Amino acid sequence: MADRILEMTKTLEKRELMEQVLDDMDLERERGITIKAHPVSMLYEAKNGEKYQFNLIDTPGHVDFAYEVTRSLASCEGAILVVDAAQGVEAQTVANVMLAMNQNLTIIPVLNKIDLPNADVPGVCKQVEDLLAIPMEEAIMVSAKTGQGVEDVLEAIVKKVPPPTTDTTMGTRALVFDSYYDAFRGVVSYVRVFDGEISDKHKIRLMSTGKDFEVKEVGMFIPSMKKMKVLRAGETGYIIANIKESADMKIGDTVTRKDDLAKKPLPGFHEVHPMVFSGIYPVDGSDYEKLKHGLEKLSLNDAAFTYIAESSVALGFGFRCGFLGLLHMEIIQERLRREYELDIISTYPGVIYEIYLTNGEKVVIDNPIYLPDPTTIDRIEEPFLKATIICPNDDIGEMMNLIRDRRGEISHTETVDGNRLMLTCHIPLNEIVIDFYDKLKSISHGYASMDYEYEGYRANDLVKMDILVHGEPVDAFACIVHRDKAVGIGRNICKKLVDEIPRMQFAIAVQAAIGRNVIARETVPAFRKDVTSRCYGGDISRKRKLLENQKAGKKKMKMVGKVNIPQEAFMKILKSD
Amino acid sequence: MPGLYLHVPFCVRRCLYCDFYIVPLGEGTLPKRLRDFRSLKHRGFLRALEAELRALPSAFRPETLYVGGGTPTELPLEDLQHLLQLIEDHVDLSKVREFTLEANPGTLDADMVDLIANSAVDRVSLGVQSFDNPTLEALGRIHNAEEARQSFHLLREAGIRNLGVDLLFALPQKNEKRDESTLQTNLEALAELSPEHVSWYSLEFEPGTAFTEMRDKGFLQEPDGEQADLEYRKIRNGLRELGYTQYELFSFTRKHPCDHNINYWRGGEFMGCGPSAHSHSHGARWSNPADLTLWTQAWLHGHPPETVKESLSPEAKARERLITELRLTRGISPATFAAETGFHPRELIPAELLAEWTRNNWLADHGDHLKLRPPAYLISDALFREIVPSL
Repeated sequence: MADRILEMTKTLEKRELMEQVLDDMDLERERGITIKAHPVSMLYEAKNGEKYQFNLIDTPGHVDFAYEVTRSLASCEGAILVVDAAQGVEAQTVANVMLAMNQNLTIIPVLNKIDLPNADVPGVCKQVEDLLAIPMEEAIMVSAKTGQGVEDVLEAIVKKVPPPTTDTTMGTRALVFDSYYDAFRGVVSYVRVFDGEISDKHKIRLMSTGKDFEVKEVGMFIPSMKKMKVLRAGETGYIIANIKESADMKIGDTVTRKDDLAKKPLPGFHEVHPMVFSGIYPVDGSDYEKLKHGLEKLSLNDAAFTYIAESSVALGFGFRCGFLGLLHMEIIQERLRREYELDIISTYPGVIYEIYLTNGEKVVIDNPIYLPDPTTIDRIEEPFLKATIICPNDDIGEMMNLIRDRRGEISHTETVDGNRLMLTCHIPLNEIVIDFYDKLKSISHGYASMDYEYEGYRANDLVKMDILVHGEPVDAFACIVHRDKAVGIGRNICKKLVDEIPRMQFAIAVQAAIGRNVIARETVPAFRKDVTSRCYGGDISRKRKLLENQKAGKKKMKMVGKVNIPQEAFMKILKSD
Repeated sequence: MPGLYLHVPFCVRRCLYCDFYIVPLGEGTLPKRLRDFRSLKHRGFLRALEAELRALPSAFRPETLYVGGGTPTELPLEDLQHLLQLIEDHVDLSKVREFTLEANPGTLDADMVDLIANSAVDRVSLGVQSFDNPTLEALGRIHNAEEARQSFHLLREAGIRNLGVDLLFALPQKNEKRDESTLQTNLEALAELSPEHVSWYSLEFEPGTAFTEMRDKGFLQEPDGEQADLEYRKIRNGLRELGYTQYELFSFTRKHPCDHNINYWRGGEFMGCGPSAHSHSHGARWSNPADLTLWTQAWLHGHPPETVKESLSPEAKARERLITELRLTRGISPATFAAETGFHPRELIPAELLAEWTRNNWLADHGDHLKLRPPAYLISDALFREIVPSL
């Protein structure tokens, strides 16, 4: 859709259009999703003869990246709501529309993919009206594939979206809605200028820190970065100043000019808080600094991602990282591997628990190993979500089972249309962090969708489960689980570990335990044969080299007590089945 | 006590578990063209071997000789005779105490045995592998158990007083009963034949062999460690009852150990001739190309073939020797070891490992000798892995 608009406005020639121009991260193209919001500026000559400059920000749809949407919407005057005419309204559609409405944006409803044989235009229009209360009389019918209707969208923007307003009495103000670190140019900030103008002759001040920087270059995205003389009020573009430290540039900050200081900053946006936590460790301890550097750079691009140094007995020195959700976590890990060529191990993902002690104190932990002595604990509270799930009627039974199995309760059921239901449920975040979304998709053959919002803390019968290998607790595997589910989860982890731990000369017990109470146990049998049979002339160096290589391979494993645990074990434990 | 190894790379066909460098030349009544090809190969090999033997250092006086393969006795009678003659002509045999020839059942007849008995060869190692016919077939051997017995008797009757038999255990699993009875069959055959020497190896699934491929595709199952351990115990006990002494992980003898092999394990020097043969001298190791044609061409053109060289630091050499010498059941004398390598074993094995291994009854450490204990024999690579140089 965005590609088609670029083509219509002649921002790009047809031959320049690769599939999904705006999704330029390899990961995005591979997965066919948008992770980062992409800004682009274009010129459009409308039917009324006037020329307009549009600034478009293509945003992600996945629930994990809602914060990207929030930030983008803060920079905009209007939003195009694109609904798939075949898929209909999805749970995240509802969420994103709510965000736009909260910002008082003009919403232009568009039905896309009307060319598909299974498109259901009247049905989907009714869904939008019923669920989102958006009148669909003026909805635009589009096929991004054939180009039908795309011009109508551009005309509707001209007619409906108000031009940017500016207040000359406020001083120069621009909102930073994204940024990234370029090894050669330092921090590149994506901004929307609300008032005044900024050029490379100016000195800017970041309002949250008061630090000043000299502007080196300003420009716009058409769609790749193009240098401009000046960025004016209403325009979206980038600023490169001599900002060398990632930490100096905060997303949501207001940029002002030293010679035209703003009276007050723009309303930023809610700071997003990570919900899911996991330890990330370098496989090779000497990569620690490299990992730190990578995390620092990634966190610059990603306001929602946090990290703090921690250490583990099993894994050495690493970082506890916070993510918005599982997809977010996966993407960060994948980017560390690809863009920073790091071999990393990540620990079992968890959430933030609030622990109330018998002495009235409250302790907040994001890592199970910090759980206080159980005898001092009055209760443990865990974060709950209010999740909205839209699910085909046929799969509703299985979906309800899944929700119940994950300790969720369904509070409300609503009909979306003849074929689908919308469930509102309350579910512990801990239960969905691993694979809930995958399960939901597989139950519904891809048709169900989910959105969630944070609902607060509730007390539950939660316990810390340790995994012991040969009697030694492996801190990286410790997790907090509901007591009723501990045995099942413990057995599952033990079974998987047994397959991954290489046999040694002695039998190795793998146990799951709550306190001193062992609740599951498996055994890795002893290795009985590990020998070179013939060892004559030429065998000697061949076998020695083989042993040397095996020895080196062993070094890559993590030593816990007397047992070596291969990296794969840490990774496989995370994948439940 | 330097040794000389000669590699005769010919076999009738490749056994399913074998990863040695060999050239399978086919069997039975060959068409004339192939027969010619075979004899050309043999002739080329012998001419090149002559050149290589001539090129040995003039001061080289081996104390042990080993003609192995491949199957040296696959050579036609006159070619084998030629080979033995070449050795007598070009190698100074004045110091030789042991001269072994490897032979395979199915390739020996009275004439050949006669030739061997009347040569400088004083020890024959017979590659039997098993005295159980279904097992022999499963291994892809060219002979049956009866032929193995016949070959042995022929050699014995011709007056060879030092005979060795090679056997295999830890074979792909059939069933426990069957494996048990095969083991008994083998022990009974040994009792009957009474060879001076037995090498009873555990079968290894080497990369690139038919067995490994069959295993990976699920057509046969590698025995588990428990099974191998059980068989190994029975073999050690059975051979002890028959009067054999174990002197290395897989080597047993009633009379003399094989000095040629002991030299390998004690880090001694040796020269290797023939394609793929390795040499070890003056701290360096090198190997001939594992390619009959390349190797032959080079020598026939009057220059040595390009070898793959490896030189080890003194410490790496000491570590290597430690892991091979510990294969010997008598173990090592730390004082001698230190004098000969410059490193005391205690420098090479961290103290805590030494303590742990002693505690586990894997190692006996009595100051004046250091040796593996039987519980460690079948898992010795796990210990050796800790000793080899770190990459």
